[in-house]
Amino acid sequence: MSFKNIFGHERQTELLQRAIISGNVSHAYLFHGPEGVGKKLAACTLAQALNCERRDGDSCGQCRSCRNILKGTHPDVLFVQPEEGYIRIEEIRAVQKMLGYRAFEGGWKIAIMEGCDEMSIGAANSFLKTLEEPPDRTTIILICSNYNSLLPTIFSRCQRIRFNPLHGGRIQDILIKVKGAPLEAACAMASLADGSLGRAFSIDLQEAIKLRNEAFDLILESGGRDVVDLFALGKKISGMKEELKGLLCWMLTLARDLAVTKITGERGLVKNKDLLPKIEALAKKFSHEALQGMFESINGALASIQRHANPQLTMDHLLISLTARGRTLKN
Amino acid sequence: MSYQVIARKWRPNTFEEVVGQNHIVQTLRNAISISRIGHAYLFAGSRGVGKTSTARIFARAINCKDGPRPDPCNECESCQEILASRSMDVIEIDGASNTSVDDVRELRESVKYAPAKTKYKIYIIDEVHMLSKSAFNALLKTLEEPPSHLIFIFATTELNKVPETILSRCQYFEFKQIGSADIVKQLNLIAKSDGIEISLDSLKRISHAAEGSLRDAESLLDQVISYSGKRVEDGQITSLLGMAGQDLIGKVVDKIIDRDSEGLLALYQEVIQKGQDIRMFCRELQEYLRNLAIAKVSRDPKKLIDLMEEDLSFLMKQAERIEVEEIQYLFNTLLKIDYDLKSSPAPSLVLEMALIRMSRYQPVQLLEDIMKKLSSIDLGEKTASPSRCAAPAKAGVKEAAPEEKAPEREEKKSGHASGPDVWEKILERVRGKKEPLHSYMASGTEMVQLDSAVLRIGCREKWIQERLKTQENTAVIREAILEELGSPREVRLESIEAASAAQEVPKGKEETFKEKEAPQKMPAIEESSTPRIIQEAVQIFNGTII
Repeated sequence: MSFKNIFGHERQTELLQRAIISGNVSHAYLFHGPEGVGKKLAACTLAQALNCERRDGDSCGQCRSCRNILKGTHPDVLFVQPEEGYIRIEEIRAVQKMLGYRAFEGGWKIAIMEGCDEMSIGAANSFLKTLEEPPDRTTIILICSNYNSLLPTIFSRCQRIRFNPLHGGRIQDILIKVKGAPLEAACAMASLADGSLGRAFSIDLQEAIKLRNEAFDLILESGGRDVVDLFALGKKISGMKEELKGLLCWMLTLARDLAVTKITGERGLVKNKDLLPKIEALAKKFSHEALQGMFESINGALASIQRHANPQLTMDHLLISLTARGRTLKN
Repeated sequence: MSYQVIARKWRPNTFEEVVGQNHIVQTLRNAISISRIGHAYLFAGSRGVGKTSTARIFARAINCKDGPRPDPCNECESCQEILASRSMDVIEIDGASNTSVDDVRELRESVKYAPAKTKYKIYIIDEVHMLSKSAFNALLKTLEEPPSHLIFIFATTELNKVPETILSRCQYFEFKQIGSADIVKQLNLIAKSDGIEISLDSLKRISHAAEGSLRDAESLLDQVISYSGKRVEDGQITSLLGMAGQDLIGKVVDKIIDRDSEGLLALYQEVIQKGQDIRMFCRELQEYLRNLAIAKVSRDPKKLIDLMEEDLSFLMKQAERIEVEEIQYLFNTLLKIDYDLKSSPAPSLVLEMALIRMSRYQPVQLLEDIMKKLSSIDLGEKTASPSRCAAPAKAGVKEAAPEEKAPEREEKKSGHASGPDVWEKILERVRGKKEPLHSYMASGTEMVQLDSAVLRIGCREKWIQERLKTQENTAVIREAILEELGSPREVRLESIEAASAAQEVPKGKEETFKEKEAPQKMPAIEESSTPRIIQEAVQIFNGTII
């Protein structure tokens, strides 16, 4: 895929292309920015362009090398992903081993490491020497959504390229153009995607809205819940595993929307535009402090889940604190 | 050879080229020139300040052809081999990949053999903090008494993870963060030799973003160059570095000061749309607040704030509209979310909510201020004119009045100091005679009345009264009175309630004693059965009990 087909990151792709043409390709890049905005696509395209048989600083997408890279079967391009939530030292060793050989096809050796903010401390440290001085004609592309959680020693060794969230209108256009989505659905999806084209494409609209509404109900009904129900609910929610983080993220945006509505009343700032009337009604019931508190509890729960805390305990705690807050509201 | 990034291309090869670590370079060179080379060195410091580079230069200097010399020639066979990292005698080990005790055992096996070509065998162990505990311990004996041909150089960014038993066996050097001026100088040198046109101001910004790490600065410069080519425009720098810039941050702070949450959120949306890095934004805001605080408290802010003229004058104007306490609050709020920003999947929301909180700051009255206010009221009462002082008391609370002056008038006439002073002096004398007794009396008793014949002492607690009653103690008190007043008095002990009842008598005479207002407080309090604390409150606030 040509650099031209990467939407919304003209400056970044231009930078990469210029580096290829002038021969200034760095040995280590860090692509960072929100999920699903095109970081991996850009990394893949960079790998293709470096190894493309046409050698014109872009990827043709046609030649064998380009196709193989896309399929993930190119011997000189290695893709690494976190397994079970971590990139472990073993994976780093595999990368080091692979980079140690000469390129099979005589081109560039490239390691593309996704989710490198999930590198374990040991893995990150054992990667430092390689990252600083890899062999010639090698480039390592680290991809992560939050580079602040990387070791400073890691990102100090890379050329950092930031990928911005895409503008909502832009996503909408792309959805209509590429997917042929109807305008209304495209609008809703764009707002759900929150700047991430990847999310917009992967979103099963029904599913996402269902999850979001579930999150909204959790907040809405927080006051009227019985303690016994609460634990059952906590058990049910914590069983969601993969979706749990998503649910909490939705709750976070909703709490934020409520607070923003409470303070400004500005409709343009609300993210969940389709829920506007409901949000406005609910915002009236809470005090600003209560909303701040709610946001903090949800954020705390999310942070715990992030740190692999026990999901059920975390959710129980969150539900209890939400319920308590809702109760005081009622009284 | 393919392209090398600036940081690698400009890796220092001689001690002279090492930037900003003169204290270490000097020590190492001297050590070589007076032949006092230690057998183990530990280089610690944050990322990109020159630890590994210095280690390599040091290794070359030691193993250079004509024997250890303060500066490596970089031309002899040995230097060349080390430069190409194929020397058999200088072995660089990645401590983070070889962490186990087995790796150390292997190392211990190989250190026994003498160097192949040169005088010393040098092991550079980078990222040494990652060695496991047992790996460190397995190294201890070798590290303490290595064979004479052996030198260890450890490098680490996390000194706190290195056990003390290792530390105490090494000569340990702490690498400083590199000053902004040094970084700018080095970047300028690089830019010039590579034919890059870039202004000094831009370089300053880069060095600022690098936070004391030369490698970071060089990476950033690389990035800037690969984006803009040989000519770098000033305007591109802030956006390239992902910074918001002084103007925008100034506007944000303006909105916070104006309590304009709505405008603030709109502005923040703009920031997000631009793809601003959240944490960088937060850091810039923190720095701005720091500058603001300095502008507020410093007499010569120019010295401490590194800003351009116009930005500074804007800052100074802004500083007039905000209190130091608020700045502190804003700063703390940002500080608290710092961890969340690091780990949260939705950092922009976290910062947004913090901004909302910041724009809704309600000045909290400081405890100090309240205390100050209270004490000024207190003081006002003491120094105020008698009529002012008496007025609220009369109007409101019966007991807080300056009535019972009668006994003291006589004291005044007889030339003695007035009531409380005399009491203090008597207590002082008691202290001289019997210390423990004094401490009871100072905290638990008050003088109720003193005239030519009687001294009435009010006791707050019954047990104190009992204590004072003993013959021994009464004798001490009598003695003290005799010494102080020159003539004996009859000592009457009573509980405070009884005492205040007795005080009802001289009421109505108050007019005559107005001029003797000042030392009123103590007896006044005793006047009623209302709890003491309430009385005090009433006095302090000039209040009324309803």
